[in-house]
Amino acid sequence: MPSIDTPRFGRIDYPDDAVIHFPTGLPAFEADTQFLAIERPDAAPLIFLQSVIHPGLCFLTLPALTIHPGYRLALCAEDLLLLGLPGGQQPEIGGDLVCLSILTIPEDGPATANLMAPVVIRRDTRCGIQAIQIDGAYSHRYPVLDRAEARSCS
Amino acid sequence: MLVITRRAGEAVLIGDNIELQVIELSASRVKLGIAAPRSLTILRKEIQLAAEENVAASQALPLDRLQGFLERLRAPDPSAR
Repeated sequence: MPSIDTPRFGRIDYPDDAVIHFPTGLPAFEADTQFLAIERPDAAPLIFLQSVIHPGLCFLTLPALTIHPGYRLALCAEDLLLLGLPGGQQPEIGGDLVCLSILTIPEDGPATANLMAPVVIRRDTRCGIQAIQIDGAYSHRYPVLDRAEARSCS
Repeated sequence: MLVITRRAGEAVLIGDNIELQVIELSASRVKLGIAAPRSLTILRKEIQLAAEENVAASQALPLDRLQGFLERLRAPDPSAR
């Protein structure tokens, strides 16, 4: 079984079919095309997006619906194609379609989630992208902890 | 920021070697054509914003800050009553 040595989790053994393929990587990390989605009971409800290619790279994410219960996807035609989803309609989050938001937790300032560019993963095909929502309805820095601030900052 | 009004078909010149043309207008969208040297990166702003957020998000988080965040995340919401 392949394995990687990570700063956060130490050595991780993983089956090949656990790897999620991001054909275009992520903005600023285009070479990181393979990730593992890791959940740990002591870190729930966080989902870690651990790069296989660069073990030092690990994003913290939360499900978008956990952060914003009314969140809806607005993907462009190109992103629907990359995910192998039918064009002309927006997919619903749920079932085999996972939608995560990458968190930034700075030393100073509020923890924020990038709801403008969600990570969308198909569990059935192990394919993922970070998509820019086409309607500009959500912030790239949505406050995760302060509910009152979040309500005024869709 | 310099603000200029253009009609469809009109253009703006930036520096010596960049041309920005308004190709088509509709009620909610504008189609732009940009002629510039290949050495210049042209990005929709949201992609640059996403790239910057990813770089910030990729900074390794010390364990105490992670724990602090998890505690606050799991705490019941005092404003939701």
